[in-house]
Amino acid sequence: MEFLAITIIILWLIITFTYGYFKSRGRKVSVEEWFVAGRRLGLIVLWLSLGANIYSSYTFLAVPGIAARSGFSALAITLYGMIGYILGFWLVPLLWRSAKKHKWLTIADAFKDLYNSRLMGAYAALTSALWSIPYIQLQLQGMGYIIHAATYGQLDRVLATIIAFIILALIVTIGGLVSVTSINALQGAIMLVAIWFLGILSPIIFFGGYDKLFNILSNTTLIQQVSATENATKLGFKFHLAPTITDYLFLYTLIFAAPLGFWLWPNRVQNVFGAANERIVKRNMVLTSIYQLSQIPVIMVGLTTAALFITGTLTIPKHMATQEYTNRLFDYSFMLVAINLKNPIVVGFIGAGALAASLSTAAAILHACGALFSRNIVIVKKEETLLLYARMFTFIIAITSLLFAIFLPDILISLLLVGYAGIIQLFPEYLIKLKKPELLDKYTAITASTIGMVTVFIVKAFKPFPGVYEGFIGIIANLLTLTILITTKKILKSRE
Amino acid sequence: MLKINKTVYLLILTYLPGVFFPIIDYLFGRTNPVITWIYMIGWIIYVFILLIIYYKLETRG
Repeated sequence: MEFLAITIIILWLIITFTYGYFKSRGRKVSVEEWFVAGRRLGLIVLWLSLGANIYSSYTFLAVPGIAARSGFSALAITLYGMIGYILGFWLVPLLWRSAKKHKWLTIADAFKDLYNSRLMGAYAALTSALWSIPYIQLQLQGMGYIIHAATYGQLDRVLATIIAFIILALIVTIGGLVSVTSINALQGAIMLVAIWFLGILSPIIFFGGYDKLFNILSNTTLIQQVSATENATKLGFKFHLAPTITDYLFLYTLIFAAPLGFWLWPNRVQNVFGAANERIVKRNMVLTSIYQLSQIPVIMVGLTTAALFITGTLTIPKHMATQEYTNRLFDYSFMLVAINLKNPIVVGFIGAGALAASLSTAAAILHACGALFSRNIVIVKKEETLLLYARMFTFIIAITSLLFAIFLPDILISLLLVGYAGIIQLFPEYLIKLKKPELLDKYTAITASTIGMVTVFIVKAFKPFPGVYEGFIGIIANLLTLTILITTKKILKSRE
Repeated sequence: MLKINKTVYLLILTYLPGVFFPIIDYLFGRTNPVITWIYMIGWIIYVFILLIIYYKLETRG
């Protein structure tokens, strides 16, 4: 019966890819078509594709993972995303309008035009593509976890990831955004169903209700006893319902910094550029936030895993109880809860939803990276050569991320947050140039942004401030550099 | 399109529950952490409602 789960997943993949193929078949692929789907996406397709584009392995695996491992911090993750939509409602229609007017195809086009500099465009393209690598790695690791769990350990995680990703890279390379958005529209639909189904029902099925779930999770004496065991220490189990000082630091630094990057991810911006009109963009800012709200049931799945672990009733399959999975076991929470329901059909259905999320996001980021490299980094005039470069770079980024996923795996939520920490370093340079263009030149912007990104690297590597989000420290360094450079320039000018 | 000052005003409203959060947590959360969780989930839903209000205000002109 166990083979049923992976069969359902494979069937779902065949359905979505066939749909994507027929949608893009017979169309002449122009540059605008390949990059932004000819700017003709309607309300529902944009909503579902944007949902599938944004919500990925991080929703299905990373958020329940942090909820099960640490408890309170998961709420900070959901909150910063919701705040991102408030910022997005102001920022994104502005971006879309300029994109339509100036025929921007990528986020780097915006930087190139604002600074009137090809160098600035190339810088934005290169940095955002590079910071997307941890995000693609997150999807790849996630896909590996899902297939590994759905085959009940029969299929090797690394091999499964490689096969899934080759199919994906081919679809993206051949089809462009029409194919990606068509596939994502279907993926977005199944994701929502899977999230709400498991999120709402799991606490009821396992504990008989939310009150009973929270009764277990509020039992600090029992949690302390469980956390002190060797097994819990090995798995990195530090669950607590009440926030600690570290949680406070994480919450406040995260919700101030991370929303700045929410709408700077190249794949999200490019997806929005595909909208047919501004009204669709605005309505989608509200509609897509429903996906963000859907993280609440996802957190409940994580809490269910924690409660099952605390009560000693969590069944961990043998293939996951190995050394390789020790500190990353809770990233499997979503699949673990499905497996603990002991019904392979449910595992297959949930796995299809989770895999859909990972594949769709990976496809969109890869597509955006290819676009960034080919349009903003290399100089090509012929349309055919440009498309060839776009496809080539898509493949290179895919392979790089795959190697990272295989040889340097990390806790999923860390991968997401480090990607954000890097991306947000472009925000002050974008906003200031938009509102006070006379203040900034390209060299000041590149210097400050680079210092912000280097700070993120250093903070991530050495962790000098436990709990403080690395992106927050990066943005402080970035803003300080901007202030010093702008003031120095003003002083020097006044002396002349 | 809303003006920037309206956006800033909405952002202040968005972060406002964060000012009261430590107080709520100190007064009620220490004895029953579920209250802290309800407050945080309420904050998330409150931002969602603000977003809808933002949209309504904007489309009304």
